[in-house]
Amino acid sequence: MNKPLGKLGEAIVRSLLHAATLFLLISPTLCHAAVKPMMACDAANTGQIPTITSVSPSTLYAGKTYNVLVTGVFTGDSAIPGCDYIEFWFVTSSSFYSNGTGLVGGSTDSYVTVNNYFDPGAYISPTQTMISVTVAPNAPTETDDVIITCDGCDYQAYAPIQIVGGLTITSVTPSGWWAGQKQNITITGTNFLTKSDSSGPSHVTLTDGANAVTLSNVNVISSTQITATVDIPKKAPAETVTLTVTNTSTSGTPQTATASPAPVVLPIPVISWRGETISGDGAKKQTVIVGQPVELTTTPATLPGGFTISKNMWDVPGTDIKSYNGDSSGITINEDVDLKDIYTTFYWLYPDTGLNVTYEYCATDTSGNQLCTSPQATATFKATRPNISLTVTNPYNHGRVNELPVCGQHQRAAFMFYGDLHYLSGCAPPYTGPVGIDLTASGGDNGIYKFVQVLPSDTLSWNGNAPFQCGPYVNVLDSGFPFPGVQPNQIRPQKAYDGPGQALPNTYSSGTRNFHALMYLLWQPPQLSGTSTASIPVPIGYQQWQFVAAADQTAPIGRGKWQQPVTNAAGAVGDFMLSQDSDNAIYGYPIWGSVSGIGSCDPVNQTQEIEE
Amino acid sequence: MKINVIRSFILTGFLFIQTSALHSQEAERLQALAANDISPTFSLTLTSKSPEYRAGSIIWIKIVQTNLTKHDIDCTEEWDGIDRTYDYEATDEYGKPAEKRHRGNAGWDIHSSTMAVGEYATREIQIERIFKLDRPGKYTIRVSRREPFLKDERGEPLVVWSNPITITITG
Repeated sequence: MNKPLGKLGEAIVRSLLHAATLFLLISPTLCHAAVKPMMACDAANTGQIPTITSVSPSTLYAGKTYNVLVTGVFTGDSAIPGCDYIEFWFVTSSSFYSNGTGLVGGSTDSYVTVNNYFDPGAYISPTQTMISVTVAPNAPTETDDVIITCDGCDYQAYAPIQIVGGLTITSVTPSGWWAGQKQNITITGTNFLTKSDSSGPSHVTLTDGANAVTLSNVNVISSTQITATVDIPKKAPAETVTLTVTNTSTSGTPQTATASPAPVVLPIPVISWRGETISGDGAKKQTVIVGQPVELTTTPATLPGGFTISKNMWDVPGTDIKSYNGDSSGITINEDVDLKDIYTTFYWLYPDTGLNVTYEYCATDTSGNQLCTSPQATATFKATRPNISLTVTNPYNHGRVNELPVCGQHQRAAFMFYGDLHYLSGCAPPYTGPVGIDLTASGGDNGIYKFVQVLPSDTLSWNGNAPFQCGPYVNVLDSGFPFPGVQPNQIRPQKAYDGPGQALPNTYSSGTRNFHALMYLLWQPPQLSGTSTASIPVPIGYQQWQFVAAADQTAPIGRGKWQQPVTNAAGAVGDFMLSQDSDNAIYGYPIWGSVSGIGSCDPVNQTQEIEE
Repeated sequence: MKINVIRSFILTGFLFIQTSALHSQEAERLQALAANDISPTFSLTLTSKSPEYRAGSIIWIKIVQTNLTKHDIDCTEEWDGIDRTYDYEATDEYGKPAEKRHRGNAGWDIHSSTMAVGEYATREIQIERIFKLDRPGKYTIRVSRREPFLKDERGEPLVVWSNPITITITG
């Protein structure tokens, strides 16, 4: 039947063969038969029963192409009465068939492709045919048979041929392996060889540049799953790992499959400060002075293997802020410390002995899976502060009435002061008497003190035929920020003086000042070596004090003769109180509404401009 | 010349003893008299928080007084909502003085302070408390402070002026 069939004829032949294949597939009795009569055909009588003596190679690996030499007796269809033509079959799922002696047919195994389908060139001799086949990379491990059979007849011969399935790795979970711990991993794929397989089990190997990863407990669970344990030391760097599964074979070349994407070693994050590592084993507790900047950085900044750092998370305990800004218009702080970057800078405001700063990150692999740090990086700090105090060294408890001279901007007038005048601009010689109150800071002379005075209330009132009042001024900043008296870099006893005064116009019979103050003390530590960021002032505490006094004019009113004032309360109220982070919304820094402006108030003309 | 040198030495020694014993302002006065030097003891630098403000808003100016001497000088504040130890000057773009607000005389607080060699003191002042800067335009502002002890050739108190700054008031 060595004649062209034409496309229609080929289709008919294929259909017939497929039908025959299906028949063979569902006929278990045929699976291992060397020769099996199928239907009435007188081949036995003619001695022309087809046979297969060898198939070479008899093992085919997935993903490869082979020329399979089939040797046997391929009688022509005419030699067997009743045969339409001779077929070559694979029992179970594959078949080759011949249209005439040695002519290669096709395959019904979806993983096997016959390349020389109906190629007359396959014919070698009456006893040999060369079948070219390609086995798909993902072909399963199975046993097929090469069959010679007689279509329309009831004789066949076949020989087994081993298909070694395609070895693939579809995933490795987890895709990232944390340094510093043992982790169980699962390799998923196809055609892993188990112990029960003749060449099994599959072997797993790992290769990493730092030679840091150790593999153990490899267990091929099934043809699609392998479990193992990886152990990675703490100091392992970020790197990709080549993971390979190998199927060995007693015949043919070993198969290998490499995981792609490659697993990645995810390093333990490291916290650095001023160029030194301060986290991890053996890291020492760091000491920082409150108000000094803590500029932390961490690694890794990037990851290999297509991994991205998708989340940075700092945890900073204690009372910390990102920045501070203070002037006469107010103190503002930024609490929003950047905790979502590999860098963070903050200041602690209050002392604390055990401040554990932690950092962790999450990495996202190329499939979008997120893995978060375990363990975290931890750096331990101790925030310190000198023992700073504020003392009231001259708590004068009296007021004085003074007659101002005409000098500078001053008109001759009576004034009631807390203490004596100390100095008046443009007036010479200067007044050198004691001032009202003298507040001295100590203990932190290596830094800079800043005084800030807030007046919870201040009221000036005058009595007489037409009483008048200035204020009350509530929660105002006295003078400016900072309060005069302590200048930058002044290293010596740090003092702030205050002497509230009140004009005593002749038209009034008495004048009263009700002055309540909170003198806050801030302290700015020295610049921290190794950093360019300035330190900031931190709240230390506050001293409450007051001056409540009244003076009467000697009768007759209008002559400007005033008696020395009666002082109801003057000087410190209680002790210097240390600020607390819970004092107010800005962690104990002073808060005020506006700057005091008693200068807008005129008791002589009884006018008072509205000031902001 | 020899006599002068000896006299200077004695005077300097005397001043050293006095400085340690007397109040710093008195020491400053004595030093100024002894030196017979009318060079300013301090300088004033004026800045504005912003070059432009809307009419009616708070206008902050900052005065920095810097000690130019080799001894303590005074930087006391007389506070009644502004620092009265300074004189303030504001002129519009035509050189016309800005209208001053009426300031009362209810009282003030004396905040005595000195500053040491090389130090400086800052004051932040709401200048709209002194002048009615509610008309749009450009205003030039200066501040001055009297030397507490120095007098010029005519015997008048020496006055130290700051640099001028210009701010723009918008409507």
